[in-house]
Amino acid sequence: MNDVVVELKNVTKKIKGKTIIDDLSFSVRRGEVYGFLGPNGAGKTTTIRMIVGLMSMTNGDIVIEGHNIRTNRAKAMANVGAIVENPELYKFMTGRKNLIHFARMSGKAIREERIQEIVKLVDLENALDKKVKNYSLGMRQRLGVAQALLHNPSILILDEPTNGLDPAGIRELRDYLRHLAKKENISILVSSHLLSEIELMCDRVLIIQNGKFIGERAMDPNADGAASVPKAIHFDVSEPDKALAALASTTWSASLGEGGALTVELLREDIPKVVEHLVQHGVAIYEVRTVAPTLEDTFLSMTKGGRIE
Amino acid sequence: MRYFVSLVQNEWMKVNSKRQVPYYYAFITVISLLLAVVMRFFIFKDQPYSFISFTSDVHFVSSALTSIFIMVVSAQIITDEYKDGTIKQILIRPASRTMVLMSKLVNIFLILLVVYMVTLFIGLTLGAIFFNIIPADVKLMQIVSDMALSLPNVLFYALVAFTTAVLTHSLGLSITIPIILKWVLGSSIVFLSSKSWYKFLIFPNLDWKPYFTGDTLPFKGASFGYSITIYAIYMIVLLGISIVVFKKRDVQ
Repeated sequence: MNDVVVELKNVTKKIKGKTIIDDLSFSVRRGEVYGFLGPNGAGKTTTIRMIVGLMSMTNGDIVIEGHNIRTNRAKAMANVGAIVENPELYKFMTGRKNLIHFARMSGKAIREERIQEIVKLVDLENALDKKVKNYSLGMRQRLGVAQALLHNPSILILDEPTNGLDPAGIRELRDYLRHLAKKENISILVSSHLLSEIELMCDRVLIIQNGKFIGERAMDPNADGAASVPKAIHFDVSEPDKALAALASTTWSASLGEGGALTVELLREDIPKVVEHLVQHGVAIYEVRTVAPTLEDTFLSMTKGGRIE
Repeated sequence: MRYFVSLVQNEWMKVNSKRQVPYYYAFITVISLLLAVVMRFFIFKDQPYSFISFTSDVHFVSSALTSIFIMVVSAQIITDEYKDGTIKQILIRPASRTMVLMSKLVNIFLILLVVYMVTLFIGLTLGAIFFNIIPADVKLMQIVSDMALSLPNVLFYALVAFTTAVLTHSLGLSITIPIILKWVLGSSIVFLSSKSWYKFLIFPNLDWKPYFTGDTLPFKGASFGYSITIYAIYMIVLLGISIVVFKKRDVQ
């Protein structure tokens, strides 16, 4: 099993001479939730439509589970489950018939038990034989998730999945997606313009603007490489001035922020040493924490305020 | 091949869930019933009338309706997917776009066959109830062959509706264009039969009946082989346009 599930290589899309996506490359690893972030109009939806084959590429390649979608589309798509915008379903048919429809289209033999299992998972057992036009929005969302997961895809692609959901629904979806990624080892590519959503849901985040790659960032502070980079550490102490004086004789660079907060630029391994040093100098410590720049800070600095030029 | 069959099954399930097909069967039944009542109690009050003849009458009355119905089905099978946004759901699956279109076309053909069978069944059943089970001038096989010979005509206009639907996504246009072609252009074009290019048009080549019954040929030098060739060219061009456009277009 390959570790990379989806790979985009120098993908470019031009519509009527205008470049919508410009030389975009990224890859999604197995079992990770990969966020796809950008201001409205940045090209998120276009990129997702190219991955699932709704739009053609002008240049570049997209490879899903080792199958290039230009040359081996059927095999590539057999591994993909997707909800592009709203989960569009056949309203005039029952939930069951909708699932049968998409099971037949999957190209895999899907047994009756699998349909039962997925229906149980999304909690639609009682509504399965009702027509979809009688479903609530939340039920349609769940049926949408069911049809996307029916054929055990290795990548689930979701375009703005929280649109139209209430806070409880958003939370439910978020927990569920994280569960899928960790327990079932499904990779999830999720696009959103909502920073807070992405921050809570994703392992890694890609930021694009005007169709161009802006940056990629791991959300987990303990991810590889994090220990060797100095970070701003916040010390909540009894006497900040005394603490500053105590640190002045050392090589650590300390500073006092507004409100007398003591901040020291430190490697992870040096934190206990500073604590020990301060205690020896009679400073009482109430709290020590890492000041991680929020995704919002990163996003705004990377996209220069999120404007579309 | 198995995958293609399951795509056709899907189309069949969708069309039959939409109610329009069952409603059409009910509609044919009601029309036939009215016809039976009028003929039994007003026209052939005291005379015997064959149930086969009645079946032929039912076919005569319903054939134009069926032709329109198949146009509507052919247009809707495309436009409904766009209207409901479900086109995206179909196109993100392993099925190629050509396969999707072909499965829909096969389904249209199957619906037409079933509608014809239902028409025969309703005609014979109501005929047996209201009229006399006696032989008639017209044989059952003649009605069946008449239906078979109407296939090229019905299927051509169905493909016109289908292609228009692929090009425009508009249900209104996809029904009006074939209707205008069939009943306005198709029935008045005969006035141009003296023109040298008349034989290259589709219209005089849609009716293959004269080649079997020995009726007057649609134009001088017409032959069964020639009509089939012209018909095939028109059908392949329409199909080709549908496939190329459907494959190329980005779905928003």
